[in-house]
Amino acid sequence: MAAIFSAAVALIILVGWFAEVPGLTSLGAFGPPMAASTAFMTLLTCVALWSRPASVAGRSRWIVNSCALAVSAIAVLALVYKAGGTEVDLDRMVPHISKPWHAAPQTAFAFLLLASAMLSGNRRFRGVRPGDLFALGALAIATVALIGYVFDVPVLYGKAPELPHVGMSVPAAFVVLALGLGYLVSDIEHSLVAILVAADAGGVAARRLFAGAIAFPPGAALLLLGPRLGWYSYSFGEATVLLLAIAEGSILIMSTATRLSRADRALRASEAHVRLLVDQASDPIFIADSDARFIDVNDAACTLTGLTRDALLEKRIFDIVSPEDVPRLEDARARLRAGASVVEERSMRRIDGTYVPVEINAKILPDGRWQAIARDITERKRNDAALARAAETERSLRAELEALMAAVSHTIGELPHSDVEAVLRTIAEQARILTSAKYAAAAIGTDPNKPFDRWVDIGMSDAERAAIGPHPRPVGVLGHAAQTGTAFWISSIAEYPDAGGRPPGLPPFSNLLAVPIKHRDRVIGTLYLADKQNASEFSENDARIVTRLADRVAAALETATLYADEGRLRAWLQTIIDQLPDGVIVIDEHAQVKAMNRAVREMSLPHANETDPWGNPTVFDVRDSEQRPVPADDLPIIHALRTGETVRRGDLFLGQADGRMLPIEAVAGPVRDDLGRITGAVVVVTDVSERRETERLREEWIAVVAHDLRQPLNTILLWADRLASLVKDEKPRAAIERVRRGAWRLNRMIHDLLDAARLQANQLSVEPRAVDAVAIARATIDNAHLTNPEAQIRLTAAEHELVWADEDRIQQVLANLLSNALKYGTPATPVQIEIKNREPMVEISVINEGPELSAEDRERLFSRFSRTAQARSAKIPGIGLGLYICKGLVEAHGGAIRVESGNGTVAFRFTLPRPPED
Amino acid sequence: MGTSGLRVLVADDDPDVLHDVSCAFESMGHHVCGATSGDELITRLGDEEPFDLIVTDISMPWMSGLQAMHSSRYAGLQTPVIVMTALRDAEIPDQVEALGRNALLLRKPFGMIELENAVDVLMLADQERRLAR
Repeated sequence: MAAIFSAAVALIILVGWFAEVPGLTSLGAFGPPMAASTAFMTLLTCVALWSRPASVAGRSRWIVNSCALAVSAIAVLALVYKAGGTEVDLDRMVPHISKPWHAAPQTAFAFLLLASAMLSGNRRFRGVRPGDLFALGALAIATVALIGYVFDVPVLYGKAPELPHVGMSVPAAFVVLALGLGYLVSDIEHSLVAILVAADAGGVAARRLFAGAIAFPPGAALLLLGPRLGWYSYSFGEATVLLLAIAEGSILIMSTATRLSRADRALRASEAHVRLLVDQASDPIFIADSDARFIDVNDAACTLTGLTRDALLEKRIFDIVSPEDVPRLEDARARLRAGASVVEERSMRRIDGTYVPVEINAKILPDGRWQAIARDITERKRNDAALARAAETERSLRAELEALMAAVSHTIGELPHSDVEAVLRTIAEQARILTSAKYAAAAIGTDPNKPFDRWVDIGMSDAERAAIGPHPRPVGVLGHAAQTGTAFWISSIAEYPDAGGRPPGLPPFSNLLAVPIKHRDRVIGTLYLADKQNASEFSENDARIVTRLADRVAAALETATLYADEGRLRAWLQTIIDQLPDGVIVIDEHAQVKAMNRAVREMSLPHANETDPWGNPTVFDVRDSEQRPVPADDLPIIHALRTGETVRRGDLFLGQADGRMLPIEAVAGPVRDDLGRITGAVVVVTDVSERRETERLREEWIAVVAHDLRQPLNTILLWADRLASLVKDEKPRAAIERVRRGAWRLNRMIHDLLDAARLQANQLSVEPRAVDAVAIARATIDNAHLTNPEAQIRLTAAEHELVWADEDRIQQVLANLLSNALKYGTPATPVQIEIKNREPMVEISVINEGPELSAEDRERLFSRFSRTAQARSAKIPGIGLGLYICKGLVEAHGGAIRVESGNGTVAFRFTLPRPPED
Repeated sequence: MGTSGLRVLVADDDPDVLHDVSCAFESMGHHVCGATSGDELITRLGDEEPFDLIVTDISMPWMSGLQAMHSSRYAGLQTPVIVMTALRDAEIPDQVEALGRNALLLRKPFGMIELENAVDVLMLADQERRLAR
């Protein structure tokens, strides 16, 4: 703010000089104008002041210093010039300055002070910043000059009659005032006037008194203006000023004193509180002077040392610490001086010569006194020692258990070579060693109504074991731990309430320890120990250590049991899989082979050092129908794993070591866990070479039979035609015509039988392309009219309806349905053919009027050799393959066929796909 | 219907069929020569007077009718041919088509009407081709 104000003033002055506007050079105030050099100094000082807040280091510091040096140089030159020691007049060097207005000596001196203040930085001398003093000096010069102007005392602003120079100008005085204040305020917390902003009582008093001091002179000046203007006499003015001074002084003193007194009371109250706290504090508090002599202690301190307060106040710190702590005390003192607080454990000497362990929290107060709070840590030390002992015991116990667990882990690691019994035996043996027992047993099972699932004992002779019996149960003393879920031990088994029924011949057990084996809070079995060797009974410690053993081994036992169960399951599964005639491969989610049976292994290639892309050592040479290798990702099992779909492929081959191509059928499906996630896949591979051979033979046989049947048919047809052309009589001609028709029907039957055989062997193939269903329907209708010109057939369809179909086969289907409709429909009623768009399919329907089909007929209609009751009773010729073949053909196209019957009509409807988009 | 007086070579390993078909052609007023195998068909084609029409079965011993016809086509003989068969193998129509436009497939069994139609179709096409040449 001050810098901006001053810079603005300086700039206006300079403009005044350059533009030769006299009014501007003195800012319109009375008195002399501000010299140009003063304006320059102002600007430089402003820059220095502006840069100062960041005056830590580097560039800003550099700017501050150079500006301050420049100001100093100008000021010194001005002073020297005034003293007549040089001819260098700076102002004359400035163009446009005709009249020599030089910087007044006190102005120059004030700027020299300001520059020195800037240069002195933050250095301190005896706690005072010289810079602050320089700034105050400049402020004093400016204030004197201003007061001089206000009270019209020329000597104050430097226009002494005996001095040949003009004084400090009004703008210069304001600028110096502003810059001086600016300097002090810019870093007020650390400056000499910091007290003005202090939050304490001094700050309050300073602010009030300072405000009063500042406010008084302008008031007084105003009052003294009256006589000058002739309003009242000087004596009246002076009297009023005096009264004002007394009044203001009184108010300020009273209010400040009140505030100070209130603060003092609060301070004393607070001190009393602190005193009370100190006295009542449970921890001993010692305060010593810088000479280490106690000056204050509380009651707890007296109790701790065993000395009275007065006696303690005569001691020094060294008197109550142990001799070996004295050198360390010096060390602590050095650290405390550096401002740290010290927390240490020491021994403190009591009056009776004993030492008390204490924790001392010491610091040096701002006034140089020592303050120490001691805390008796005897109890804590005792607890620490006990804890350390407990930890040591724990450690040794843990080490013992670790060793034991290692033994158990080793046994489990040997699984499945070792079994659950071995694990139990290891555990029992370890427990026996831990407790020095003569006998030990480990058992799984808690149901008192049946023997233990597993029982292992150690230390018993065969005779003793025989006396226990082959199947002990968790009842009586053996069932106690399992039923209560807690360890229990007795010094004599005879004391157990239910012990009366013990079978004779039992080992002479005296004492017993039984500990439940728990897994996830569920008792799964019990550890028994009997006849402790080196004591009369088992101790609580024995119970604890065996309980910990039981806790640690429970999970292991569970694992072993599960392992055993799963192992059995796996072995069982492997046996089943191995005995399957089909090959089976099971993989996990990473395509790693998890199981594989003998059958599939025999289909693999014996490459010893090769692996498949997933690192499995068994390699299969899978080929497609054209004997090309199938990419790994297209294998059915991988496809099932990736997509979760069941895949069936009957067109694959497995290359064999002898070069044969083994035809296979592979069915693969995903393996999912309980949450439905895919965790692997399984494939069943069937060698279909025999099936293929059978199919091939059957196909060949059918072809041969069909071929051989057609040859005589050809003879019949040719000769029937020939006979018909030779015979003129009507009767024989009709007979010949029947022969011809019979031959043609026989031909159709052969055709149907061949199709049916192929259908059954899944070998009926169609060759679809985009064809017009409407055109096919028209052609079929035309053909029907050739043999049956009377037939009424109506076609309802759009002009074209493209389908993806084998034209000949669809014509075959349609002809079959149309022929059925004409055969079975009510004579002389029309047959309707409808072709409708049923996205994404096209539906073709053949509808006739006539007897409805029974539900039974509708169900069986599409099966082989099926004929309706009506057909049989009406003796309509046919062998019942037509609809079976229609269904097969429609399905081979990806369509579906169905029959509807009602309201005196029968409708056969089938669908065909539309051609693919591209 | 209007065609007659053609020299026809009929080949079939089944003597009954050979006889039946030969008689059928003779009844239509054509001159018929018979062959009972593929190689006999070839021999006759090479040794005897040029034929106007060949009618052959497919499945015959030593050489099938198709093989014989492919050989003759390869040798430059463009005689119209009717391939008759009781087989229903899917590739047969393509194999017949490969013999050129003057070849026709006639599925067994067939009657006189079917046979006459086939001859008419082939002879008409042959006549058109000759005229165009």
